[in-house]
Amino acid sequence: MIEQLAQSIVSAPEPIRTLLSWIFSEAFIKAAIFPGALFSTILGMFAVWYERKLLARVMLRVGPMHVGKVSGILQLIADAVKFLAKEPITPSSAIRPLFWVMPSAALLLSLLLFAFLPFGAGWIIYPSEIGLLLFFAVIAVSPIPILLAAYASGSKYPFIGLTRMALQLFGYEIPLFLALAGVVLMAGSFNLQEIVEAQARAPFVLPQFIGFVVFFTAALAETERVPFDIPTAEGEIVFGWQTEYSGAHFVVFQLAMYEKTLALCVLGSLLYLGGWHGPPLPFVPETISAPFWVVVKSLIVFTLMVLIRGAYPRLSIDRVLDIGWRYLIPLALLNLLITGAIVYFLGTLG
Amino acid sequence: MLYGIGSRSFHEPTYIEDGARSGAMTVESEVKEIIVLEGGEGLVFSYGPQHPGTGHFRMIVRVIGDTVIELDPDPGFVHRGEEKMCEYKTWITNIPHLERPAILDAAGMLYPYCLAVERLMGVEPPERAKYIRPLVAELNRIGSHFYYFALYGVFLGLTTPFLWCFGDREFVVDLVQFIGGQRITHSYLEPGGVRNDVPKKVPTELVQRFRAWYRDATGRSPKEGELSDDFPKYVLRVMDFMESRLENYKDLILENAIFIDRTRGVGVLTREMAAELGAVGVSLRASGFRRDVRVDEPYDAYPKFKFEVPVRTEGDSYARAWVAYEEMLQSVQIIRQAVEMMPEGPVKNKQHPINLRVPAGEAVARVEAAHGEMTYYVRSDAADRPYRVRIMTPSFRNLLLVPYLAKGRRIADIPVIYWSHNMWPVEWDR
Amino acid sequence: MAAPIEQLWFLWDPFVLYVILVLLAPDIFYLVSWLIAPRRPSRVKKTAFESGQAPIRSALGSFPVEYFPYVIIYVAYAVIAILIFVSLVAVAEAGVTPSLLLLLTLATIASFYASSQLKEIVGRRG
Repeated sequence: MIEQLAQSIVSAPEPIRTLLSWIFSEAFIKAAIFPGALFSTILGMFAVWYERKLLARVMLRVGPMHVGKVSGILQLIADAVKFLAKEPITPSSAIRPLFWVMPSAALLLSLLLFAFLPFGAGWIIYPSEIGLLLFFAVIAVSPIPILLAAYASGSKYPFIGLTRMALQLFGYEIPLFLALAGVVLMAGSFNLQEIVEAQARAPFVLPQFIGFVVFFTAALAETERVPFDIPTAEGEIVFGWQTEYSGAHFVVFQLAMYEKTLALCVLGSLLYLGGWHGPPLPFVPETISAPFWVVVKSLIVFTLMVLIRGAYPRLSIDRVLDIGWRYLIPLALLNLLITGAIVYFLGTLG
Repeated sequence: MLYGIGSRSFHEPTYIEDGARSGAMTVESEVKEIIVLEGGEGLVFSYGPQHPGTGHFRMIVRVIGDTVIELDPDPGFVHRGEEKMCEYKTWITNIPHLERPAILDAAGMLYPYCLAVERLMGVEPPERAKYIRPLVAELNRIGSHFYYFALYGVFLGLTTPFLWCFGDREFVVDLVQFIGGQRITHSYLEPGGVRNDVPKKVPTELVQRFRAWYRDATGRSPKEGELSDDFPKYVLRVMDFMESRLENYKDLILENAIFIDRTRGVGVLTREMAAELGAVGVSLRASGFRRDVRVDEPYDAYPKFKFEVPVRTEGDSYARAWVAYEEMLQSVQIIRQAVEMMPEGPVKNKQHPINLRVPAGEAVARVEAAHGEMTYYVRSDAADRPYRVRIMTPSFRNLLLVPYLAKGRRIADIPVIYWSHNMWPVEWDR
Repeated sequence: MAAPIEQLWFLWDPFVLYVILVLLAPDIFYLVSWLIAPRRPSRVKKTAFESGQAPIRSALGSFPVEYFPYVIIYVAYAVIAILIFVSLVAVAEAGVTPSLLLLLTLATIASFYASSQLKEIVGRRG
């Protein structure tokens, strides 16, 4: 059977053979299928479904049930179709080009994060010596489309959301960076693959628990999840910077926010939870078990985020700034100091 | 008066026809007419009615930066003309529409009307009705307070209490339905008693449903023989369940660190302000006044029940939530006592004809409804319909507090300050 | 297939191919939306959202000056962040040195002191 298939491929005419060789090439598989487009989209959709189901458990209800027979697994597609079938309205006060382009820009930046994340030895789209820095650079840029989108809406609630977001997101980038610095200090490298390899003996969450807490809190704030959903605070400012967005624009923005959240969850699993180091799975080759462990660990981080959403209300903006500037930064620096001391006196743990 | 609620007159709404493609008509309010907020610096915007953080009303808010400079509540979006309607309907047909302003608390809305008409007629309800009416009123109070906590959570960005409250409230509402025939607008109370007696047996489906929910909510099944379809036993069991669930609410809401951070010290209503501005309900009791009509001017069987009036002195949004929470516990106590002490006998003096005539005179009655002190003034000129019915709702009196409390606060505090007073837009619009 | 795939270099680089796919991703949504969504704009629909009311005055408001002290702090910490970044580059080459530990100690102590003082600078709750 396989031989026949291979035979037919070999005997296929030239253009089709090249096409097939392209489809089975490393470039296509990486970019389109595994760590790339298809996987990140499916992971995002799974995360939305998983969040709904888990939150439903917390809230004593059932969550999506009917669409797609099993546990409403296709509910998200139904929702997407519903949103896409709605009219995207552009307010007359909006700056049109900016208003239209910014959702795509936000999604581009969010999905770009996945290019720098390794899902196993070699499972990375863009291997780089400074992968972590590139990742952080994209994170640092990612509020800009959102700010411009809010500004382009030309409406009041988005404007209030804009000011809140400017204060929150830029305020939490420094703690995030300082938390990442601790990891770099311990691994001695900006290369994410090397950082994971350095955790072969023990995940970094053990020596850098404070760092993990700072990272996690900053990740919550960067992705605007409860209790840091202040820029989109429903019930206070309608939907904050997303108020004017409807239909396809809204779907794209929502997807962008989920992809950003997941990218940060994956980063958390790589930096602190030991990435693809895990007990070997029986009968499963290393190339498949490595991504499996990364995804499982990322979902553990995501589960924490969802449970927090089920248990805590929203903070107020002054408290958020207070936490960011008055608690997280000193804690991150303390973590850095402890890490430095450990590395200096005990050597790297890896 | 700083803020002229209702004193502002709007132009006749102008209807604008918009192009040939859309035949939609819409009302464009005349922005120029907002007198209080015209001029001055800062950002002015409407907060409501199409807003997840308000009910059916709007607030015009002026902010500078993140600080609220002025806030002007503008009720009237759901005005129904209940008072005028009373003059065109007979004494009995008034009952169904009078409970509409706060359907969550239908018994509380009807109660003072029934008491006032009874005073005009000079009748007393039979003993059994005197227990059934508080029973239904307290069930409605629990249901209404569940709603209060549900939306308190939503306004703060926490959806869990919303679904917990609605799940638990279902069994309170089911009890009301089972007693009065309808889930919310039961029209159960009437002058001179209640409409029908409490059924003896609870339907098996209801018991089964309760058993399933009990298992979901507590993680364990009720013991054998614990759930019976005998009415008093079933009510007592549901009340035990509510009490145990309220412990969970304490963890989720009142002892939640972020909830405390968001509500403590927010919207502080001092004792003096509460007295001057005429606060009622939880707002008054959270500001240090031990005032509850059920104790001060007891009606029906209330003097025979043992319960406490929870009071806090801080006067902030947290204290109001705390008072409402404690009230639910006290309501559970009252319901237990009402079920246990309920005597046998008729539930109404006689069946009223639809064109019942009430002797001429005027009467005032007030009760402690779920949202606060509810007062009715009823005047009769011996006709088959009232001459005048004046409804003084607690929500309207508490709405007056909002501008004073919101001034100088952050934008994020607006929904907290507004909702913590336990208000209901339809109730103040009547 | 006019252009042989081998000659299109960007199809053989995972990163470039990924960026191309990511650029296409939102367009799929917009295409579907363009196909199935109604387009009936009207003046009322296009007014800026303000809780269902006609907008009052212009949308551009004032920046919340209440939180201005934090902006100043941002500048201060940005310098520390750059300092730490530069020392991290050094760490990648030469490992942790006592001088780096000294720098971190100073930064930590300074930040703890600053956060204790900050409470008075930024008066909470107006």
